[in-house]
This record gives sequence, structure tokens and C-alpha cells, in this order.
Amino acid sequence: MEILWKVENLKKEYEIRTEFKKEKIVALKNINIEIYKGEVFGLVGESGSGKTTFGKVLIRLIEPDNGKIYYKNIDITDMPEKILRKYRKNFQIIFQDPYKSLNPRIRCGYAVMEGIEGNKKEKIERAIEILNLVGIKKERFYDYPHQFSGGERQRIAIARALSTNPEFIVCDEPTSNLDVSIQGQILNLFIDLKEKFNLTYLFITHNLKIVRFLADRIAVMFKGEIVETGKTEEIFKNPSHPYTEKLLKSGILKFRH
Amino acid sequence: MEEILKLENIYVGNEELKILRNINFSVKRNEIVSIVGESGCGKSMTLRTIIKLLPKNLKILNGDIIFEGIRIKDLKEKEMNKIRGEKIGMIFQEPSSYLNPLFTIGNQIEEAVRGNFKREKRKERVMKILKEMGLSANVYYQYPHQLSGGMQQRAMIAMALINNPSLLLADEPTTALDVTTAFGIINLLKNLVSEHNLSILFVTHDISLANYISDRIIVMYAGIIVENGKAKEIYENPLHPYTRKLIECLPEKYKKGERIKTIEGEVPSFKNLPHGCPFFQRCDFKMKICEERIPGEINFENRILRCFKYGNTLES
Repeated sequence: MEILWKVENLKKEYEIRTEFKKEKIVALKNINIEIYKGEVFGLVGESGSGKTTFGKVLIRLIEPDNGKIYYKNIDITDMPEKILRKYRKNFQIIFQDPYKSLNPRIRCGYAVMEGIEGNKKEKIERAIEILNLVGIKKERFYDYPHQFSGGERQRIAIARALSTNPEFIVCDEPTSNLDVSIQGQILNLFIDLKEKFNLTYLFITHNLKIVRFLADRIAVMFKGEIVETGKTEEIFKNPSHPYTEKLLKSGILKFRH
Repeated sequence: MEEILKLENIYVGNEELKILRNINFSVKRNEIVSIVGESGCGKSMTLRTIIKLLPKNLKILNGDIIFEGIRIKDLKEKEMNKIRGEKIGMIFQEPSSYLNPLFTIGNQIEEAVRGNFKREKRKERVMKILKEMGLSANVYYQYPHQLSGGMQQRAMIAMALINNPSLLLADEPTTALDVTTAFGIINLLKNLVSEHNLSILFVTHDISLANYISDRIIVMYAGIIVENGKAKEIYENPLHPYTRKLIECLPEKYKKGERIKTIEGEVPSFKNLPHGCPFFQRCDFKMKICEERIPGEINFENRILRCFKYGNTLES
């Protein structure tokens, strides 16, 4: 299988400065991961384990301290932003809270148009097409974000991500703020889009039920380190790291009788 | 078993809106009851009705709330304040927004202690309950921002239980937390029931979680109770079409590559509720009568249901 992303020895430390002292927090510690083209790669772990940081460092929204990031065998770690721009449209990110990730003063249609190239007419047509794809009707093109429900906003966020025809999307807990019934709809949408556009996902979540349902392979993160990687079913069957075991016990086995 | 809380024919709303319609249920001593449903079904509103903290524009129109033999509905605000905190405790979804960032945890829990106690005695009590919640004694001197979400929620539970109430109202207390921390809190609540002689009314939108924690499940939809019965029976054999769909849309019920069967449409808003059964637009089994009349409560196989599929009782 073709390797889409390869990460070597990735490190990231945050410095927290208060008036009295400096503290260093290790967010990522020697991360080595490969993500194949066309797969759903699940990243699980508790909050504060560095999942989100990894997602952001991978597509260089945050600069890593150390290590290498390869996208299709091209080293993008130190690539200047000007050149990186060309690649940027290939990878997108969807955030957890659709209330925060949409600008309240920009109409939904325009928000989607931002990423599309062409003249205005083409832009509008394409935006309508994408919105239709994620299940937002044409009539709502000129509505503002506050007029949509949480699930619909997440759909708009997905439409925005799709507007540049990406091949890779980082999904950072995209359903954890939604109701169970809406969550199902959004998950279905992710699967449909993946099949339609041959997308690759990095799916970050702490919900093991979703990961089991969606991911081909998973990595378990604990305190900035990846403690286990492997095929989803194999990890669920026999976890080798004690932390994974603990996570599985709390997430699935107990809530499921 | 003795019933400690009983709601009879509760209607909540105002002249234009009816939020809760004919709510009937009871909570027994040492029992955990879950209320399940999507957002906007009136779950939290039911809790707020019990503790009588409704928004200003809503009031209880009809019915009775009986708590430990007292009719709460007719109590004056002053008397009600005695029950709140002392007899009924409440915890919420977002612990950080209910804790004051300027005071230490110990200070805030101590503030909640009712009755005249000496200072040392109060501190002793707070220390004891912190220990019970699985928090170290250090937490007493710490500020909310120094604690993690799970610890904050434990501190909130400590605050709610400091006066040994007999009923705890829990409004999605684990939704904002991680799986492992949530699991700890859930097990803590389960253990508290026997240790503190407590009953819990637990609101969640996750029916599998409700099945794990509770003895009974109440399923609500658009302000009415559609199904009420033993947790295990409801989870394994849901009868009401809405309960079925709620269980069907859980991702753990599916294998990889399958599509989740979702509930089409949305919960109707309280401003324009349909004339008949509120669920009929999304229902797979709808009949002609569903459009016209609201189903009444029927006893069916050990549970209470509101659906014309199982009998032709009409709501009066």
C-alpha cells in the first residue's frame, strides 16, 4: 500500500510560563507513524495525551521541535510556507466544536466558497454542489451559522474541508459534541465521502465505539507517546499495553452487556 | 420498596407552550433511574421541575410532585430552599462552570454545609467526603483550575452529597469527560447508592450508558414519556419505535463498513408540536390515528408505553 504520511521521531514540547516558574510539558515524545493511502487511521487516548497536538503538527499548523514529517515521500518539515501552500489544499482539518470553527458573521455558502478557485459564478455553483453533498439544501446558502443546528454546522465544516478537493482529512473529535442520533448521521457521511473521493482520514477520538466501527488501524496514545499501533480488530482482541487494556475496559466492555 | 419521589400528571409550560405533558413516574429508595432522549426532549426540564428551578417564563401548570411524602409543588420558596441541597442534591454537565474560580474547593464545599457546626467539625466532614470521592486531602486547599475535569466533577458530587441528601439529580455528569474518567465517575455514583442510602435520577443521551448504570430507564420524546421500564428489558428488547431507533443508531451495534441506521428528521420544536403523536413523522410504524391523537399510557409487558401499536388508549 502507498504510504501517504510518514512521521519520524516527532517531538513537541510546550513551555508554560507563569509569573513564578517555567514548566515544560511534553506533548509529543518520539512519535513514529505511517499512514497509508485510503485508510481510516484512528488515534485514541485520553484528553491531554497529545492527540490534537499530533493532528495539528502533522499538517504543520503547529511547528514540531524535532523530527521529520514526510508527505508522499516529500519532506515537509522545514518547507517554507510559500511552497507548502501548494500542498495545503490536499490536507484539511475538521474540529470538534462546530460552534467555534465557523465565523458567525460569514454566511454558510460564502464560508464554503473561500476555498474554491475560479470566478464568482463557478465558486457559487461548486459551493452549492458541495453543500448538497453533505446534506445542506440550496435554500440555506445565505443563512448564518447561528441559524443551523449543531449537526448541520458540523456538515458545513465538512463541506468547507471538502471545498479544496483534499485527499487527507484530520478529523479531530468531530462527533463528540453531538447527540447520539446526529452522531450516526455524521459518521455515515464520513464513510460515504471516503468512498466517493477516496479520502484518507486521521480520526482522533476518545470514543472507542466509534473507532472500532470506523478505523482500519489505530494508534493508542498515552502521555505524548504512542504505546500501541496495529489493526483495529487485533488491538481490540488482545491489547498488549496495560494502558490500552485499561482504556478498552472502561470504554467498551463495561458499557456493553 | 418505598417511593421517595413521585411525579403525577405534571404539565409544565405557559399560555403558548407546553413543554412537559402528563409526566408520571416515581423513583424508589436506593434506585438509579435514567432519563434518556435526544437534546430538546425535555430531560433537563424534568429535573428542573423537580427541584423547582424552572426558567422564569415557565411554570408547573398541573399535577403533583411528592418528595418523601411532602407536596413540593405547593411549597414556598423559603421552604423549598431547605429541600434543595439538604434533601435533593444536583450535579451538572460542566463542573468547571459551577465552581467559583476564586475560592478553594474546601471553602466551597464547606459553604454548602447546612446547620450549625464548629469550624473544625465542618472541615472534618469535608475531608471525609473528599476521601470518599477518591480525592486526596490536598484537594481541600486547591483551586478549581488546579484540578482535572474528572476531579472537578468529583468535587461537585462531594458538594452535592455533603448534607446526605436522599435524592441526587445528575444532569449528564459525564458527557464532558473522557472515557476512563467517566467510567470512574459512573462507578463512584453506583457505589454511592448503597453507601449513602441514595437514589439517583440520571439524565443522559447515551442509552447504553443508561443501561449500565441504572435499574430503570425512562425514554422521553418531545416532552412526553414514551417508554418506562426495567433497564435491561428496555435495552435488550425495546418496544417503542423511538427507543428502538435510539438503540439502533449506536455505532457499537454495527460492523466496520456498514451504515448506521439513523433517525431521520429532528425532534419537533416545542413551538410547533404536531397535533397527534409527536414521533409520528419519524416513525416506521405510523398509522392514521397517530397523526390525529396522542397515545395514552398503557401497561404492556411490565412497562409503561405510549404507542398505538400496542393498544388504543387515548390521551385525555
